[in-house]
Amino acid sequence: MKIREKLILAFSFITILSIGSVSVLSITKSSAAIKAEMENVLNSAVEEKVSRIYSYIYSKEKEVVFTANQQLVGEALLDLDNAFSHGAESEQYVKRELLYREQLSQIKERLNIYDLFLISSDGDIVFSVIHEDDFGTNLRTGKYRESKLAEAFDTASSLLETKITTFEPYSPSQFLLSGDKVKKEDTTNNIGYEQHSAFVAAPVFHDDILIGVLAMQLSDYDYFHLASDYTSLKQTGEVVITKVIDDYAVVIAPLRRNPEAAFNMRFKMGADKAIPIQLSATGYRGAGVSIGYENTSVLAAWRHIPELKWGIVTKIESKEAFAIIDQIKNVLFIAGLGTLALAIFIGRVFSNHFSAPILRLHEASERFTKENVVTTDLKTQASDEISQLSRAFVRMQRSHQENLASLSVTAEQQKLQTRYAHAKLKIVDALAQPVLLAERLKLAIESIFEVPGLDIQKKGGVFLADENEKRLNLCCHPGKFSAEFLRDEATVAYGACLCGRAAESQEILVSDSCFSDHRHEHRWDNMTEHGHYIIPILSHGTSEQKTLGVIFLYTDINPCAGSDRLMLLKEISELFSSAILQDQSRQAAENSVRVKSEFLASMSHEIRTPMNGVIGMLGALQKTELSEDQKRKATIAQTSASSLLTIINDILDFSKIEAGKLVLEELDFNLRGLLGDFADSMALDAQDKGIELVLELTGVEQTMVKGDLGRLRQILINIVGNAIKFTSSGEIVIRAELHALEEGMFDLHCSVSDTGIGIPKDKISTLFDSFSQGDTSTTRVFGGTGLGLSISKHLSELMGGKLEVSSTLGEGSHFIFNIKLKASKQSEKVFPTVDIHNTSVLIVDDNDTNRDVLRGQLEHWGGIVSESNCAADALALLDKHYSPQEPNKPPFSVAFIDMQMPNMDGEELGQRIRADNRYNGIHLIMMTSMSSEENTQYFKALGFSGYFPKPATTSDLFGALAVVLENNKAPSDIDTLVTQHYLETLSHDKESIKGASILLVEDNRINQIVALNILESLDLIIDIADNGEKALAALKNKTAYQLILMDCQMPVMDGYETTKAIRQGIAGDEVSNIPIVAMTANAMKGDKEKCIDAGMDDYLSKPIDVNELENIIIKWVKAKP
Amino acid sequence: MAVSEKSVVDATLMAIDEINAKGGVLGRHLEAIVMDGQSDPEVFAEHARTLIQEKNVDVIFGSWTSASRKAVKPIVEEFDNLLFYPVQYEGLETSPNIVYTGATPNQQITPTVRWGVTNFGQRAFLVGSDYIFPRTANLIIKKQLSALKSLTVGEYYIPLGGKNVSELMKVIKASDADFILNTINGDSNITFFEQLQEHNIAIPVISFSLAEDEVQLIDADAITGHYSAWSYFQSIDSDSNRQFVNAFKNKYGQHRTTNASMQAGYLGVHLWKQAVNYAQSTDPAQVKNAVNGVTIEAPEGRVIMSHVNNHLWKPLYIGQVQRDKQFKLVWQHKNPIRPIPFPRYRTIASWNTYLNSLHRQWQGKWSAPVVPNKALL
Repeated sequence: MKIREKLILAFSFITILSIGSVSVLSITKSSAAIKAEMENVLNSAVEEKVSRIYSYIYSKEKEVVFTANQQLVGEALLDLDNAFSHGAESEQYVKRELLYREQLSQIKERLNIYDLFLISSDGDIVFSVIHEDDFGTNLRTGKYRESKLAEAFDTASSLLETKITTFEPYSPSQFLLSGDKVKKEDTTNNIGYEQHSAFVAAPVFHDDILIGVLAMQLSDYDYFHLASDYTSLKQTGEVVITKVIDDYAVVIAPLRRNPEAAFNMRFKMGADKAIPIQLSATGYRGAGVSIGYENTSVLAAWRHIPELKWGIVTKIESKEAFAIIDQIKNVLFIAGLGTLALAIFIGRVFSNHFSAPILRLHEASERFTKENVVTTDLKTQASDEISQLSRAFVRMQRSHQENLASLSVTAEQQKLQTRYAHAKLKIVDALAQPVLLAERLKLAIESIFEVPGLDIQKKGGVFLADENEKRLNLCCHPGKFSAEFLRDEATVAYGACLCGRAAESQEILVSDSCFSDHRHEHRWDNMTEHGHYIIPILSHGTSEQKTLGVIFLYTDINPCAGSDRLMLLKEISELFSSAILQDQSRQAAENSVRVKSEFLASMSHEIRTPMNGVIGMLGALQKTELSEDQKRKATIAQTSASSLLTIINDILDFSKIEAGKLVLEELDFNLRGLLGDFADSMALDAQDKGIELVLELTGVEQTMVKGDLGRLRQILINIVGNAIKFTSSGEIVIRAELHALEEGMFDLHCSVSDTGIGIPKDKISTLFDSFSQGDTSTTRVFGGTGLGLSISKHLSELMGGKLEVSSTLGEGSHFIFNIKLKASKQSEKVFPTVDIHNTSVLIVDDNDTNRDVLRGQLEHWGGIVSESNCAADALALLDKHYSPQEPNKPPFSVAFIDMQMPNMDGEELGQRIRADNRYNGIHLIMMTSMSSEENTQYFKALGFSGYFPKPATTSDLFGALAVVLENNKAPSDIDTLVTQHYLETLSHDKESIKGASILLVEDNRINQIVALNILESLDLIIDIADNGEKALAALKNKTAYQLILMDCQMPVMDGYETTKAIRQGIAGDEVSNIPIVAMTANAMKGDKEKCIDAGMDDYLSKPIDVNELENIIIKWVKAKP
Repeated sequence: MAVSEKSVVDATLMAIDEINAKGGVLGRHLEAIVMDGQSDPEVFAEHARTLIQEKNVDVIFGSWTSASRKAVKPIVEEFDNLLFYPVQYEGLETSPNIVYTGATPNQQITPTVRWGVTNFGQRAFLVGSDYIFPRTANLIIKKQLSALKSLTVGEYYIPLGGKNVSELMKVIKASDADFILNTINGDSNITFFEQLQEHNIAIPVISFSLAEDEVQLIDADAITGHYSAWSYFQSIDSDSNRQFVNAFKNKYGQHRTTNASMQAGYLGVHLWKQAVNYAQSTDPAQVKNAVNGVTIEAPEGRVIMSHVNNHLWKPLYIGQVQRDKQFKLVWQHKNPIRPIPFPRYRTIASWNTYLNSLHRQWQGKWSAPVVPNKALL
């Protein structure tokens, strides 16, 4: 071998060795790192799934146990079991079933389960919400005794255990609905399972005796979504849920790449593919590289859920996971080849230069021997070789550098691509912001300004196309634009200038310079030279592409027009296109909602008119002599009518909100009074359920405010009503605070906390949704129409606040809302009429919250408050506070005593205190949850000065303190017992309106009778006119009317015209100022203005509420001098 | 207790030797430090502290009675260490730092009670030692009997280790019971069964704390034909069990027997090894998270570590004592049963209140002070 070849070989060998070892090392290292990283990702993804499955299992198990302990379930089970013995068709059963059906259905809806069963301890299914074939069968002996329901029943009834069964096909549920006799043949999949159900059941005890079992049926849809969340799983990542059925590992939920996979894909156990699926289904856990179901190499993590006998696998294709390794391999391979070639080349050059001088030396010596010629420049040549050698090194280095540079160019490009991707993501983000379209487009354009290459001028905008008018309307224009531009370019016709051209041609236009491009027709003074990208936004997907708009971007002159750039612009325009299309369809949807709402509004208006007759007449009927049975029936009819009206009102409200037609009223009102009255009205319901209703108003200093009290009350009724409904024991605390904002404004902050069953986390987000079709369960739980909370939320938002809820399942819910109120000119601070500064007060109540609230209020007024949580402690405290030196000074001035306390109740405590002469000076005030007025005399006899149902409202406290402390009377000298009722009579105005003369103008016979009944019960003198003309005539005849109640829609002459005529003096000048109150079935706000505009003074909406009518009459009859 | 505790130590050490023979874990050999708890909760607690603080152990295997476990619990929790507890117990407990490899009541007692009612009749007599396990077990049993429309015809407790059963015999005779559910622990069982024989009481007894070791000490005539319920019997007919039994006999002597607690202690070590391999660390804080979801084929059958409560899914067997003092399996539930430490029909808070009230009643101990006992009829 020649020296030259040896050298080349040596060079190659060294290169291969070093490149090879570096490659192997780095590939191994990065493979391991990437594998570990991916395994981590897969493991945490699968762990997340596992924990979600467990939270599902445990929440269902807890829910069934919790529900089984509810009194309703126990009662229903006993009752239905009993009635069932007469047969499921028997009258007894049907009646009883109807009684429980609604509440049990509500439970089913709230828990979002497929069905709910009550099963007797002998195994009879005595109740089912959806009544499939299983209803009425016996789970020990009947045809479903082998089912999973029977297993759950058996576990619950004989082992007293609650554990979820596995999901299996359940034959009674193989039909869509019980009435649906067509089997879902078309959805039957290859393996033949259609719908899987699991069951959870809990024993139901009554007095510690097992009376049966409550069971819930869960549907497989509950878990399908688990498999469809591939977060962090790259493009090929999948979540597989699987179980073993007949020696096959069967995929039981849809797959990312095969939505039909559920029950259609299965793998024989022991097969040499789908290894992670088999392992997880059998019971193992692990992670690593394995063979996937497509017989490809996958990186996977797998777990087993023994409760459901499920396997769960997260996996991604190795190809994707290790794609980066392949890239590294390629890069290293190419770099290696390059370096090798270089090495061979350098080897050749080097060896040539190395051997040439030797040859030359040889020639020189030949010449020297033959011709005796001396070559003198040998030495120089030798030093040249060294320099060549060094130059070769330089070249080698340079080549090497070039090689490196070519590598880093790719990296640079990659970086650029990443920045493009980021920018696109930002654009997508911007377009998804929950703001108006124009704002979103603006944000998106601003994001474009961050795209490399488009980030120079930071100026541009969007035109939206008006297809009908063939023109573009300027929608947004971030950047600095001249006023002239904005004026001239507000609209641009198709075909005009660059943008119009792009709109027509639907092509991206690149303009090199505004001065040289003839297409740039529009010019302004002071325009600096710039280029443009003009990008049409096109609808996609349809056969005929429409122009939706045009994006215009300012660039420096001669912008890049390469295909990459154009592709990027096209991609951006597609993003815009989607956003605009979405907005268009949203607008279309909103329009249709508005139309629907208007229809609903008018519908419910039409219903309200006859309802007025129904409710009014029922009220009138009740005031007549009725037998017990008739009375009961009338009451039921009235309650039903009222609930129907509530529902109609809800729908009306809701449609008004949807239609954007709900306008708020502004009235001066007493906030404390409103909240106090409200708490009073709810207290009865609360007491019926044995719940403490606590009202805290210490944070409300300003009583008089201005706002829509009706709407505020509506919010409160909805929230507190729900709280009462879903709380079976404990307390409901209503806490209100009024914070002063800027001049003349207040923020009312109100919270309602209960100790009820709470709301599951996953339900909170949909709690305020109105009847959305996807999920009616939540809305249905919360009362009649399920609109209450949604309306309340809208109302509080309309009033400048918001409504929020937090809840812990099983512990209770916490609703908070705030609204803005204005200061009333009548504003004044609340203080009792008597000075209770330094008055010593004792509060005895076992409920901590009650004591805190009362204490807060009394201390706020300057009282000195002591507390006891039980009677014994109170007695000790009295004794301690009594000072023998001042035998006539009672230890406390007033003691508020709770009636219901453990060990010694309030009654006995009162007796004990009264029995002790030392305490003669203490005023005792009883507070009780049992409101029964007949006890008043009894308490008086016991020596109490006052008596109140809880929660004690502010006015109650005032009144009580005022009366009992007034004039320093001793308790024994006060001869009436201060009660709510007594306080009411102190300020009663009813007397003052007796005998007042009123003209009722109303054409509808029924309404006439209704109003007449009410008015006569107030001892008023009533005349009736059928229409406006008759009213005018009546007024001419008799001027002594103090008030006119005026219907608005009447034949001949309507209420508005009549009012105008009266005000103009047509009925005589004496009556031109008479108060006129409109009565109308129109509940829209605009109607009220119409009435006022016509000259009426006030307004009543139908159906007429007795109290409202009474108040309005008191208001206007008294107002008359 | 000493005999029973010692056997579990033997089985545990055997598992450690097996692992070391195959190269240890993470390339390291296991070193066992054995400390004697002397059946005394306080000594257990003290030793646990020493093991963790001075000996720096990665894991503790052991404790026998509930009292000793409850004494060790706060210590492993304080140092975030790990305890593998091998005995069937009354439940009503979970701890992130304890791995419970024995059965909970729903894995041993409730299925057996139903079996008893089905096979013997509706009149059950409950007898137990007066400490936490029998008291709680019987509370659960009574509720279940009522649900099964059966009667608790008697409930009787003798002090732990007590030998005076003469009154008990009278009460049992008078009760006309169809079967007896026995939660007596330790040596008292010898007296109990021999006295039953003496008094010619032929009511079948189902025991929940009577295993192979104890049976060897009782007269064959007195014990033959009675039943025990366990998640493991030496007589289970499977390869993995035969291997385990043979290895144990070869190591410690042919006369030795194996039982459920020994097996649970043994499988605990293997469970720990799997978790260590998975976590790639012996740090207890990491191992305790890696133990969830581990499945192993144990001598008792397949067991799975729960993902949620640190208890094992275990099978259940009912065995009848034969003249050779081994159990013949008469009923089995080979599919592992899910562990439910807190029976659901009471809240966890309510169970804790129950435990606390017993603890107070027993003056801060987990067993009744030794006083003359009373029959509850």
